[in-house]
Amino acid sequence: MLEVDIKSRRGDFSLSANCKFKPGVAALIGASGVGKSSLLRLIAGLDKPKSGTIIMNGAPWFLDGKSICPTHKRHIGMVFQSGLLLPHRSVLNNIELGAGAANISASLLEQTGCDKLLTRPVGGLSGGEQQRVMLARALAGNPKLLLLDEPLSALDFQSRLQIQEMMAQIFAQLKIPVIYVTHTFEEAARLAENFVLMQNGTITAQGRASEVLGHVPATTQELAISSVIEGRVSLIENSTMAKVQIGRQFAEIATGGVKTGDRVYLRLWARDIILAHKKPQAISARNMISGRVEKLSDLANGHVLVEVNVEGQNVSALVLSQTAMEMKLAPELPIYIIFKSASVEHIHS
Amino acid sequence: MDFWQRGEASIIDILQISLLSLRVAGVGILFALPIAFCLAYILARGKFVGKALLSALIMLPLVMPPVVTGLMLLNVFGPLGPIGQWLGQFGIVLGFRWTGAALAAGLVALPLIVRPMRMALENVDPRLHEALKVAGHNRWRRLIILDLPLAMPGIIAGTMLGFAKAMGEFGATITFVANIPGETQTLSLAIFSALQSPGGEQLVWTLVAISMGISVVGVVVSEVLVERLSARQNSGRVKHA
Repeated sequence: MLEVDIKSRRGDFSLSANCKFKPGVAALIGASGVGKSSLLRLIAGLDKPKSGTIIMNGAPWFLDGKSICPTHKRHIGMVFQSGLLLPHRSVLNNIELGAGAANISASLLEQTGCDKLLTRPVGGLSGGEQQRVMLARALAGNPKLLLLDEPLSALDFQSRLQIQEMMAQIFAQLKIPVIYVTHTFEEAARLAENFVLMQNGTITAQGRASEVLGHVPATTQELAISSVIEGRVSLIENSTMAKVQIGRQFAEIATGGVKTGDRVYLRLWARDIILAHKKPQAISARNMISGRVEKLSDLANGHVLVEVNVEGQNVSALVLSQTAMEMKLAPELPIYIIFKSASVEHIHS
Repeated sequence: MDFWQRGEASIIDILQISLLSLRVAGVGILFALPIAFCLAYILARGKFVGKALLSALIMLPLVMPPVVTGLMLLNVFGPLGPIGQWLGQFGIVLGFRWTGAALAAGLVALPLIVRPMRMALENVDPRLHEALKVAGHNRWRRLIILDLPLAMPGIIAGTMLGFAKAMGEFGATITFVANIPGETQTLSLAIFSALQSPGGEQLVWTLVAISMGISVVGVVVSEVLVERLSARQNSGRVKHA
């Protein structure tokens, strides 16, 4: 596990980050210029934090303003935005540079698609091929941590999809923390299970998609309140409707290009959610999912925001205070949330 | 009895002068090279106070009158100079010896070697350094696998430029080690002597031809080497989007 608690300042820009990265893929998301790449560079040791600590698997990398472990001893794999390969060496040579004392596994070369490129000079590689070689080099030495800094941003759409698919397969086998910086949510959704949201140089949310991406503004602009729940496509019916498994329950949505097995994120707007004590009959809304009321918050203008725990994920619903009272809504109360397939906005890869 | 007293130079004499010149310039450059590389590396990578001053100091032999350089060498490395005396304890004598001529040649060539090397090192993409750092390579490994190969055209160009300058060195040499046939009389000094001796005109032109021949061969060889290396590197250079 990687534990980061650092502060850094560069000119006018200050960054402060306190977060933990467990084995698995974490997407570091946020708009351009919020400090995602800077945080990655600080973790790698390419820049020095002003203060704080970085601890990897219990061993300090950075402690009390001093670097304990220099970059080249941190056993990190890193993929940059563009291929930083040695121009005077072949593809194989370049991959070997990342291997240290380890043997390069044939399966790594095959998975990254580098097995067909080995003897090529680096100059003739396309952008996508360069990133494949970069990934092979990053993983060749069996790193303790993998950092990726917008690795697909310089690629065209087609190669972006191919490499994204390849990375998804490779990441699934890794047992190390992987930090993936991106500003496109689609990439993050496809590759990561955990999300770290950065805004203005600080981490503002960290966790599952539902925790990070559900948008709860502090003001009473309740129309903008939404929640995001995560599920997996279990079935496509008539190539128009996707059955999405959420925990032990199912929701049905329009396919919108998803495939069976895809992980999907559904955005539900709080104003669109209907609450019911019992499953209603003969109603056009297709989705009725059971949950439990978790929390009620009074909004200033006669509305109540009801947070419902659905299979471990929170869904917010907006009702009138009057309704909340009449329905006797209270924490722990079992409840159905009802929504139309058409009101679901889905965010997927 | 040397050929100045005999009044005519044999082929062997001319050969000896040429070989001495090559030896003086060669040894001078050989010693100057590692020093030049260290200086170029420090100037290209280092961030320290007084960098501009160091840079200017290195350029001094290029801008000072060679006679002044020779005079300083004489005062420091000569038989009575502090370093000259210290070296004398170990039996190393530079004053009025070919080794002193090599020192003078190396010193005046130094700025010419440092400059292209420094530029070549500065041209190495710092992001490549970072990428290799992350891949587990320390500063010294990166010097070998990244800096040296990528800066090689600059190193060769600088070396050749320095060698040409060393071959032609005159003022500092004659001031520091005088013009002693068979010991410190290089091609340039021999041309000077021949010009002054009556009937030495034919010898002058022979020596001039040899001197030019060596320079041309040197420059052509370096050009070819640099071109080949650059072509190889450019064929492999990664195109950044």
